Amino acid sequence: MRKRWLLVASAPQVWRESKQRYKLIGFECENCKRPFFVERVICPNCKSRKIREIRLGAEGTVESFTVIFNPPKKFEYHSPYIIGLIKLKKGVKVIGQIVDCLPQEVKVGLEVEVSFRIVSKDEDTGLIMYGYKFRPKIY
Amino acid sequence: MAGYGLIRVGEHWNKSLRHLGAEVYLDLVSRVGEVKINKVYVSSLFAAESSHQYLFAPLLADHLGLEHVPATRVEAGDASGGIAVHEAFLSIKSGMFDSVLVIGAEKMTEHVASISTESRAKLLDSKYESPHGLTLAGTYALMMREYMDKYSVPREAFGMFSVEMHKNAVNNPYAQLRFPITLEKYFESPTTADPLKLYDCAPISDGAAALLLTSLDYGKEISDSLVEIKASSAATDNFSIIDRDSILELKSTSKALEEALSEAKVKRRNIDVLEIHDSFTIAAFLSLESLGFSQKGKTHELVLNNYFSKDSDLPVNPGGGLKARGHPMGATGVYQLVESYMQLTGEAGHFQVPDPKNILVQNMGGTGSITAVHILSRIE
Amino acid sequence: MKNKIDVDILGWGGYVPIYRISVDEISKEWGENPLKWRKMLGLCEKSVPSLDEDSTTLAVEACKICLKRAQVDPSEITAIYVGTESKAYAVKPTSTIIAQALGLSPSISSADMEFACKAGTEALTVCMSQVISRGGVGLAIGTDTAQGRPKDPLEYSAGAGAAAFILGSKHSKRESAAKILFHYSYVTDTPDFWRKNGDKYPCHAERFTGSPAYFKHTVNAARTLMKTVGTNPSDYQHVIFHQPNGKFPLKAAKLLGFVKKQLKYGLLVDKIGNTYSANSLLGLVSVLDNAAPGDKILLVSFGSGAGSDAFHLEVQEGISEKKRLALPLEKFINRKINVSYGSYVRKRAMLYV
Repeated sequence: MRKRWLLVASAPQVWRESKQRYKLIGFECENCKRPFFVERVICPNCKSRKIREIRLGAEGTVESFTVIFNPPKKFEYHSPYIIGLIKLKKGVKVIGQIVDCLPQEVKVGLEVEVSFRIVSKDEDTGLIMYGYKFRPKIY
Repeated sequence: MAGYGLIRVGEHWNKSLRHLGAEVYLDLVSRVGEVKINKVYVSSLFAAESSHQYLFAPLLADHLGLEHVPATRVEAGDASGGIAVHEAFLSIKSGMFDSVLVIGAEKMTEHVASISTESRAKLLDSKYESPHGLTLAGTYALMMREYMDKYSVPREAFGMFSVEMHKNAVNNPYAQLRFPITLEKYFESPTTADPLKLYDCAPISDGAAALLLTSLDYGKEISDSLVEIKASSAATDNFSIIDRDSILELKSTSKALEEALSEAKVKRRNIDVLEIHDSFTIAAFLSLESLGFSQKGKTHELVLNNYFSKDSDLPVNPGGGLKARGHPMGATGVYQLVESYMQLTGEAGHFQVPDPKNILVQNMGGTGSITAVHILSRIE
Repeated sequence: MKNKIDVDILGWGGYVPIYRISVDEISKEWGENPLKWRKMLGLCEKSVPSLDEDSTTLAVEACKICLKRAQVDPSEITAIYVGTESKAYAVKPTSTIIAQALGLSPSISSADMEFACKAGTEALTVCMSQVISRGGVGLAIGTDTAQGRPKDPLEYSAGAGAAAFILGSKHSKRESAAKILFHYSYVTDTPDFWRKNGDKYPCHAERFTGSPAYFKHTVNAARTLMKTVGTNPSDYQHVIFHQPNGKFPLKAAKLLGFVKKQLKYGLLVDKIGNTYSANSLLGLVSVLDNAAPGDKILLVSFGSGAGSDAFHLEVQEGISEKKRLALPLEKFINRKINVSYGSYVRKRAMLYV
């Protein structure tokens, strides 16, 4: 029985956002060259409307991180999990989970790379949002 | 500001959202009588989510017997209260209205904590932050880690701030957590979002507060205890922390403060009491720095030297702040302003600060995406 | 020689999740003697996917490595075939998700395959046919997060992993790492292992999975292929069998006349468990990571239900350069975090009821 239709993940939303989540697409202002990750129609720096997509690469470093012990309901079974503020090579920052390591192994400055994962899954309908997470860089 | 109504922040299991709103209105009426009300602003963040109620403002107006009075809900995260008062202030300044009622009301105990955590995560960017399992506490934890890392801050400074807030709340009859804590208890408290501990965080609260704003002329007609809003300002910042050059600067706060100071024509040194948005201890530190009352990375020195305690020259949150008074999100800003009103009119009883003239109130939404700043002054 | 084909492997890549659970840990939970199980199954530990991993995500990781080796722009790929028996959705293709994640063009042929543990090599054979008949460059993937019912012997072995290959033909004019020169498939209707619609865990017929199923198909496919090619076991530097446990491939090798040395790189089951559709293909990944130009490789898969695909491969000069372009499978096999049974139960989503 599906009782939570109003609360379930939105298929159109998952579909719309998949391009950026799958490939870590970023943006750059054609005018002032400022790179950023949050999709916008107006450059936050120079207010230009000319914005193009850029590839941000797959590597970055941990700027800050937290370990979540009191998660939202839908992340309950993932607890505790690590979330990082990651600085990518182009200077753009993103939020993402840090996986494939123990909390005590994460340090500010740790080098990480993108790993393709399930970002969230609607346990009611089964709809999956795939996308980027980060793991310690494998050499 | 011509009058107020309050109930104690806490877990009001037997009261619905509308009941909370009605109760503080009756409390207000018991002080100022049945006065003219031109407009109602209701600040409530989770009315739709936890009480399944859109159009909560007209519903409340109806329950208050305010027939046909226009009523609007204001949602600005946990700055809803401050922003609602800001809107009320503007509507009076515009000359349209003489008397505007602001009611902040919030029920956060209707659902279990993990649902409440999920609701609060909606204060974050729904595309870039919350889908990753980031929580509001988690975002402040990211700030705290970076702050501690950058400035080598001893952990006990955060603990001492929390201890101070609990000490203040003991004397505030409207506070939720009216018990003192020790540093030891702070360190023993469980980690919620590393490095944040439970005692770094404001509690989950129900609460409501009412505030009557009037023009000076109408205020004089109905009340002997008036407080002047010398400045009411609001500002925003990059919504997501990933778009901010530094996550340790609360630019919405510094910008709103700047405007408030110039609007009120007062200097920082003229401020006698600070009422700040300490939803987390790190939020308090960053707020004090962004407000310019301490230098970047130096707040711990001031805290450890009791610079902000209740008997100092610059008391911070004499009623216990969000940490210990409690943080009924959408109502919090109204509580802050009501408590400050009580301080300036000498009605704060056991949590009264001696003879304050100017109080600065900062109410922040989410991770600092929006801030309302008010400067309140005693009318001599 | 009759039946000779000519397909180039342009790139290869394997991926195994970081978590492991040991046979000892599982047997401890059930009060069993770990030595008995280690000996009976020839296993030490198996790979465990995390809650945020499924056959789709494992496949994408394997493909990223494969693409680096192939040095093919994703937009040039014309076909993608994915073999798995643990699809993320019962209905909705995995291949399209992988294609989107890798940046493949929408103008491609794509399909999901299922044939128990043989689905991966099935994807490979379909991909071979595609590049032979239509040219272009194809992507073939075997991936699984295999399910083993608690207490079932399968619980000790059902692992997770993915292997990916980019194939081309002489028309694609690219550096070849190895050539697939012969292929033979042998299938019958044999109910040795199955999973009912809607069930979470498969059923199997215990000892019936041995001689009438695994050995009959594996041996038949291998013998027929070698006969077609005109080779003897001693002609191969490397042989890879499907490895549901540590014992079956050794026995198959013995039956066919191979020696242990030839299994050295292709036998991974003791460290990562049975990765189902990725199983023998991960063996091939490991062999290619270690092979030298001129080496001959025999690959024989097995899928319950039942059937075997056998392939004759010859390693080309291009392999030396390509090896250096991406991480070898060994990196992922040696990178590991061992978990408790409790943690395993949570990672395998058994807490969701």
